[in-house]
Amino acid sequence: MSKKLTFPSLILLAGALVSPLGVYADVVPDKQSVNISQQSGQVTGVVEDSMGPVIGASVIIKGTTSGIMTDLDGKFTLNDVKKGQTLQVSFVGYKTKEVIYNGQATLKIFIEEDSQALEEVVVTALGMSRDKKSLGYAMTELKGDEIAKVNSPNPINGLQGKVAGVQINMGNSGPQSSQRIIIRGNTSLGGNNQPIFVIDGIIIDNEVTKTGAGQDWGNDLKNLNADDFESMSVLKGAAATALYGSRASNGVILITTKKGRKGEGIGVSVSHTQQWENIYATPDLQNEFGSGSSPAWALNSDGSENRYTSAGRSFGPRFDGKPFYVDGQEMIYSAKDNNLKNLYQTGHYMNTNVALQGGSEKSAFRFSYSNLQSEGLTFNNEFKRNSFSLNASHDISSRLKAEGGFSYIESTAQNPTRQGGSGSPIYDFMYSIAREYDTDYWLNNKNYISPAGDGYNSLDPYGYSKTIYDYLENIYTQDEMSVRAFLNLDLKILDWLSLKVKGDIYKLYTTNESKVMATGASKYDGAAYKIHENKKDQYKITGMLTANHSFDDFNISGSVAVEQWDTKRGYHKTNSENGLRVPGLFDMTNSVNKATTEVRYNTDRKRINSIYAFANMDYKGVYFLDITGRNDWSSALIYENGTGHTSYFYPSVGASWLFAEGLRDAIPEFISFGKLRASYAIVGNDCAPYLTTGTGYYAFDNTFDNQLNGGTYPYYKFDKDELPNLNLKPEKQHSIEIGLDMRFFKNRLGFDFAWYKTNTKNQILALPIASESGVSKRWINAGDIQNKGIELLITGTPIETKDWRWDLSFNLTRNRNKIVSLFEGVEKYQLVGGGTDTQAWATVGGAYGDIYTSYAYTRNENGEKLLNADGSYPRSNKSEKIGSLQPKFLWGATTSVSWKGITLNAVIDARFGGDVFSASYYYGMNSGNVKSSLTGRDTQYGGLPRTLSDGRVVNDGIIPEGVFIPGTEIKGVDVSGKSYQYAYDQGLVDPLSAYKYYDNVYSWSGGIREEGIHKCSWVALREVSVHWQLPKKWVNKAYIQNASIGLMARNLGFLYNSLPDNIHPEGLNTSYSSEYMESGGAVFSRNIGFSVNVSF
Amino acid sequence: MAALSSCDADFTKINKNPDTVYEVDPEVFLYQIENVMCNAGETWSDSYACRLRWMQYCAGIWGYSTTNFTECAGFSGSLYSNYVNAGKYARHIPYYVKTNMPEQEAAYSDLTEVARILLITKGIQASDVYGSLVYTDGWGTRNGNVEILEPTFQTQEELFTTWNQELKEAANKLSTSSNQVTFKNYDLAYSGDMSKWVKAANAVRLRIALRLLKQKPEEAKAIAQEVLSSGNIFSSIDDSFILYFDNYWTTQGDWHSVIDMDRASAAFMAYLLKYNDPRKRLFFQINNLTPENVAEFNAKETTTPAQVIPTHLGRWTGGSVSYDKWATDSCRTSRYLDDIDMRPMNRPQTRLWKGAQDNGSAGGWIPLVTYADFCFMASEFTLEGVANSKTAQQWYEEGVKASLRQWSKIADYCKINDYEAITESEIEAFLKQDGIAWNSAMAKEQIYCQTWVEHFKNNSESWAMYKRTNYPSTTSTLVTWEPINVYGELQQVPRRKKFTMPADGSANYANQVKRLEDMQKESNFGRLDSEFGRVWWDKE
Repeated sequence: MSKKLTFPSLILLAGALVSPLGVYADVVPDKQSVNISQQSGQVTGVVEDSMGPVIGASVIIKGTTSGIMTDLDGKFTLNDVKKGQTLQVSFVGYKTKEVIYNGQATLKIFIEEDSQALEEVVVTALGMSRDKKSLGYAMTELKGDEIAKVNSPNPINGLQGKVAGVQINMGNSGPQSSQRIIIRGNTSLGGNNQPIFVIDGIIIDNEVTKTGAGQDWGNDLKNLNADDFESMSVLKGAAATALYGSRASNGVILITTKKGRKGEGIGVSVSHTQQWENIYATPDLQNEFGSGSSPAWALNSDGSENRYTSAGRSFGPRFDGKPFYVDGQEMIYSAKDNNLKNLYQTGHYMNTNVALQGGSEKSAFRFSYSNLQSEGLTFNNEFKRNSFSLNASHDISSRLKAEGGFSYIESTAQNPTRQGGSGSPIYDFMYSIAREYDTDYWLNNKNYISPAGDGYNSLDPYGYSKTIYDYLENIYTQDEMSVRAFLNLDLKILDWLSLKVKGDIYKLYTTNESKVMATGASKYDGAAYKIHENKKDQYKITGMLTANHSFDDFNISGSVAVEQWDTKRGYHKTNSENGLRVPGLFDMTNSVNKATTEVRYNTDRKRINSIYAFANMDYKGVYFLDITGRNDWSSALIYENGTGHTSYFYPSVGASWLFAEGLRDAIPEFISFGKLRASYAIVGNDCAPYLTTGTGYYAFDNTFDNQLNGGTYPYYKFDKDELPNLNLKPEKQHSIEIGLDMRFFKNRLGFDFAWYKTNTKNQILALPIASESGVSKRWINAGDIQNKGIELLITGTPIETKDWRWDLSFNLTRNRNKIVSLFEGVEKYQLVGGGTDTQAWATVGGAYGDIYTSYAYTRNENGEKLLNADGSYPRSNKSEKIGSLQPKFLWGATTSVSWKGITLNAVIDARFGGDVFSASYYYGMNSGNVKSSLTGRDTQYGGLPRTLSDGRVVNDGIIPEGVFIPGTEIKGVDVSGKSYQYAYDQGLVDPLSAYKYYDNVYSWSGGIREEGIHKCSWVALREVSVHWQLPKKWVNKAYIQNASIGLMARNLGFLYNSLPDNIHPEGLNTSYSSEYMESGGAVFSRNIGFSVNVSF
Repeated sequence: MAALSSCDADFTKINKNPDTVYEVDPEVFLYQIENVMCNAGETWSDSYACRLRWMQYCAGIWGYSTTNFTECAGFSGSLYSNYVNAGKYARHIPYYVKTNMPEQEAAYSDLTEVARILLITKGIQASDVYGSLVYTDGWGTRNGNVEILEPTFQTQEELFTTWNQELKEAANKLSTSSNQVTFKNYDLAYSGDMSKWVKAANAVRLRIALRLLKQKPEEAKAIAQEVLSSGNIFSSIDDSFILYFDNYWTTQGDWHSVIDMDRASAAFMAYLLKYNDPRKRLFFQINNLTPENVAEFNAKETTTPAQVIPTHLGRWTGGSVSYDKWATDSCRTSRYLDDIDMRPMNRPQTRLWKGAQDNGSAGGWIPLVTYADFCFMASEFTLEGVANSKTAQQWYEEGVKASLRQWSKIADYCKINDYEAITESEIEAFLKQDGIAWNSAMAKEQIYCQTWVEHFKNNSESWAMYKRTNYPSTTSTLVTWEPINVYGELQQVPRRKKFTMPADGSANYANQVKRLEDMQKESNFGRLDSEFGRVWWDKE
């Protein structure tokens, strides 16, 4: 082939080469699938399940090709049935039933659901349907109706607790926010370990968008409509994902959407879900003490209480319900127990879906529309979505089939909750807002607005009106338009050879609009109008040739494919400058200074060309072998001079042995199924676009006006602040997996066990270097990160009768992470996330995410905390390990009980071990708002008497734990190594005031950070739902085919939570995989609702 | 596989960032250095949130957690990154010229030296807070010296020696260079007038000399002698080393609001009132406490007893800086009469800080070494026995006049509210007063007092002076600070950054540790994480 031949032409060429074959091939006559020849007895019958008639079940005369499908009433008619022949009835998801024909004129055949689904056909990489039993790797598939049952605004949440090896943290910025999903541990030192999503073959990015204190708008996933999901598969190991290439190294969540079925006629289905979300708990706050630093008011000269104070920490006197003054404002000194709760409202979620589907003999389609409306828990937080989806297929001829899909989704999110740190309601009320803060007062009559109406109310002595103002008066929205479309052509060239040509596009347009009335307290200071638009354009084209062949007991199918994937972005940002002339007029022409604009189209381009091949083989249906190989060429790895390791190859092999079938005679009867599987795979990965280019050059920064002499001049900045790597290699992830899947007692009990080991090598990452060197990072191919783990799934069906069925399943995940090596001369690498003077590190020999701080206690050789003479703690001032973000294990349990058409499901999700740093707890202790900070504040809480300078005695004395630093002398006595208690007993020291004690331990400036580390273990009752499939005989009278009603509740509560003061264990600050810090994130909220599904 | 080489056919084109620019004019880098001499972040975290309060110009920042006097909003972080960024571009200019236009290397000498003067000026500020810095070894990696990935730190003593020497060379080169490429539109201080840059280099040398006075008095005086007799020194406010920026300057990436910034302190207002200092109206805006407004406010039904405005509070009022007094400080209490702000403490002339404030069209500016500043330094050195063409008194009086004239001019440039120029007769009258008129018995206090007033905006210098001279204080007389208490504890003004040992494994770990260990060997350095410890020149 000529060197000038471009990649797409390869695909077209492949098509061109085979098309003449296709024309010839089309001449070959079809084999008729159903052959009706002899005239004989006619049988009519009906096929039913526990719900009523079953439509579309296939009824064939065993040993012949004669057969038919049941009609809309579940009825069938068959001719030429001879007495003694067996009728075989089968239907997807049901056990095949055989009935011997004895000459009956009518037959009523009852079939049962096969929930063990050992014959389960699952969707695997590239959308291939495979027998689950043939796979050499572990995967989990959830059917669309299972997802629909919980109907969470975000379908990904429906996976929680259900899939071994998968850890999901919900977003906590409202219904639009994104989750953190980690499959089989952290394989990448970068912040993103998220799996990609593939929907009908279209790859959807799953970016980390929740990156700190700001608002989380969520990522592309919020535009996925669960109503259209046929199934959702979690592909965990590299062997499962290798065919997806580079971006699948963190796993794949594969979604196939519902399609119309050929030959079914027109059907309509409608579903509606309504849910309410309420908060049921907040972290525990104290309601006894208000603002101040001393438990007694200062006294005026006449001996009366000087009830003046400033907003600060809550170590003041006990609440007494009398007036007092904060920064000159008169208020009542009493706790407002619900001041945090009052910032929340009832969330609301409503989703309606209408789907029309139909099919003739050659064509089928499904068109669906969904409308979702939801309101979050915080003011003005909304998420709305409209989704249209059309899937259609047509058999152009018996050999050429076409299938296409198009979906258009538009969504609008507004005012996401500020998720951590300042602005997060929980963080603010734990840290900076005193317990007497009267939220309702400032909310009522819009008292949070300044008297002049031109900003927040600076009369609010606690300053919280500024935050309320931002939530209520400033409107931030993100509109998205997402388009996905695909077209597949499938040409059967010969009986054993077919060609598929596939093309798809994915476009996402987002527009952020910020309408900022004001951020200041007067004159609409901070008013702004901002429009930020982003677009993403991706396409993929694939040509694939597939051949099948059987040699007696040996079947083989193999494919070769060429593919091109291309992505690019664009953006447009316009900001008003220096405020708005007319308040509240959001128009760029209203900008005080000229609005600034930044536009760039066709940027962040990347193209990956690939050639891949795979073969699936089986022998006697007992031995299976899959082999794949893929070579990618990534544009991101090329240098400016055209060199670079752009090409990389990675293979996989997976095998399984159905030993119970193979050794049926040798294996006891009670073992009904047994499979041993093993796989080995490598996945390669490239890097971000432009990483290898531009270094050492420049980029436009801005212009400035010469204020003295006039004129406008441009200035430039360095394009990159980094040292390039001129020999960057693609990443490689090697993984090995062994699994054992066994079922006993006619599949009533089973387990699926997997052991895996994944090593990620040559990781492309930026190593920070001293900024004083002139650049701040360098690109390296780093080391070897190893994840080893086990996954265990146990399933059981304790009860199974005609009407009753009880299923149980239990999954357990244990992942062990180890940093084998990093980079020459580098022993530690700091991971993203964390904060508050703590960091997570990857340390050679240690694990991913050991948590360190330089602000630990200083301890002596006996491990005792050292104390300064004043009772404060000297900080270690050297980096000490204080925890680890790695959980010890995760487990989930699901159960379902069904009686006739009524099913009750429940899911429990749990995590044990690992640590979290709670900044809200830590600073809440410093402020004295958290309940635990009551300790020592009065006699009832163990406080000791202490004398104030004016002679009054208060009872908030605390003796700090620890011994004095060597060389400490108090009042002339050497107390080196003696405890504070000893010094107190000797009369050398007074107890510390509670204010001082909590300041010593928890303050930002002098506190000990290890006090913020807590074990993060919890057990959550994730969901409970009841689903009632109305009996067919009832609904059919109303021309309804199917009707069901569901009641569901999600996030019912935590059965166990190891964090202190009822802090939400899942409210992580970001969705980086290396995050371990909580700073107010999530609130305890519960969703309760119902759904109705009807199809005609 | 040869056939597959087509698989990366368009890749070089695809992987090229359309934003990358391969050639620029070296002068564009100068703006990057000027821009970081003080940016919005540094103004907020160091000046607004910390030093205005530490130096008792203002009473404490609005809407910001205030119970911590010494650790403010990320103090000095921006300052440090500004220094590092200045170095990155300053060192890149000669490298760029040498690499991309070697034939013009000589013609860019002025640009290189001007960048150097700016970098050293920033370096002095950074070293005040951080002590040892990377300088000579710095920024090499960007210029292709990969072996300097881990640059070593120089002690402050070494830095001062190097900087003094380099400034001397810069002044020399600038005054002798010829056939230079002009960059006047990028020169925001002097519009391309190199003779003024020579003076600026000398003025910065005098600054270094003053820092050295305690540790190396002889060397300090020798430098001062050399500068003052060089013939290339500031002679009017037109020589002041001030950078002038455009209206947008502090609006870019500027998340804070000068509206919230601060208000006049009791100590500063007491001084301004006592000497009827004409700069009062340039520094602060008159409040709304007219007798009519006060009467109307006090008569309002909604006015609580705590809000009643005491009638002795006038149009010019300062508030307490001491947190413990805030709750009861009637000058601080927030009050509104409809939409009239009735808080007594005077709001600063916000456009002095941000030209665009309140729809202002004025530019931004930062003083680096003003003529007045120079005069006060010269006056002190003259008192220390460095003979020159003027007496200490002449320098002092020249400094006071220069300060008033400069502020009058700057306030006009900034288009402040109710601008009223300072007249020469006002200056005469001001200078005649007891306490302001030269009094050799209290000459140093007079110099320090006026330096403190002059440095309202350039408050990193008043802070440096405070550390050097312990002036102002609660016992000084021309200006008298109040003791500051937070929750009953008397607060001290910090003297440097709080250090922590870097995390093991962080960038340049060994050098960072060595730097801290070396500084800890200094007798006054104190505990590593004590902000009351001292850098080398800050000798007790």
